[in-house]
Amino acid sequence: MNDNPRQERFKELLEKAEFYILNQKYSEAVKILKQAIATDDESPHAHYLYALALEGSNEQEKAKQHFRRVLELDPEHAEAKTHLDRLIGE
Amino acid sequence: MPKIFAVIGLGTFGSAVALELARRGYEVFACDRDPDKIEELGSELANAVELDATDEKSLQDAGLDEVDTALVSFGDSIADSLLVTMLLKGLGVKEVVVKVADERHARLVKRIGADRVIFPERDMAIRLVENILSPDIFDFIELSEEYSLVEIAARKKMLGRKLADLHLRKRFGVNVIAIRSKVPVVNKKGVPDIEEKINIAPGAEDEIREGDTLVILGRDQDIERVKKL
Repeated sequence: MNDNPRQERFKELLEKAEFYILNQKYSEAVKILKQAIATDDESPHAHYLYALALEGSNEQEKAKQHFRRVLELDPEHAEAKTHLDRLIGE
Repeated sequence: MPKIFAVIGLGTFGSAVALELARRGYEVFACDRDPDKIEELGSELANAVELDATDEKSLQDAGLDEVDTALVSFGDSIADSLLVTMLLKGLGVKEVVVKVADERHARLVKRIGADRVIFPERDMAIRLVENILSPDIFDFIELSEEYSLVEIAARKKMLGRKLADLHLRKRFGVNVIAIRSKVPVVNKKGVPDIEEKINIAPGAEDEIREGDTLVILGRDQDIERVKKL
């Protein structure tokens, strides 16, 4: 993303989503992260946070899809691997 | 003295049981009549031998009479499973657990003295169906024809409320015996993550939070009513 205001907005959305996740407000984080991903669909971190928030909201199927997306974008993403393994095994 | 275990029949189920017992530090005697299976597991199990368990003398020579609990896990032959169960009881093995393939097999081994019968395929199938039909049911154990233990995602209506305020026992006749929570953490790399914590025997003041899974014990019909909340 070269567009600075968009980049700024994206960063803000991720920070806000992290805040919600860390306060166990997973469904609030899900709403924010939908917007973040609409802004940039290629960010492994955004997909990771989205998957995490979905898992936190007990939306396991959607969480798996986004952990998979993280691994497409970053095959070495250790946290995504761990979560996906656990969810598939459940 | 620590318990000694034997696993007779090293198919997928038997070998998984033997390896898990060994991993937990127990002495496990494992045997199968197929030498390939012994070779496969030999590096991971100290005491895996090729043996025809339907032969009483082989069982005796192998020291099976010293075993506390034996699992008979034959996939293909009901006749062998019955014979081995009988031989093991005859040798004085205290507890013989038998993996069965169907109801008829279960009835027969019970009649000849099996202490416990397990039916993993059927149990797994029931759990799978329950999970496919209700994706927010994470696990399910049928305790009797009437009672089950289920893991159910906390309903939206429950969030932010104390367990006591939900009156689940009064309204539905079910008991919450544990709550599994998805607790946010920051990992060593500074990345947000979620850890699972379990609260066994939760108190009346415990609050239901997003991501919680309730482990509920109750009658099937009452659990169904909770699911509809």
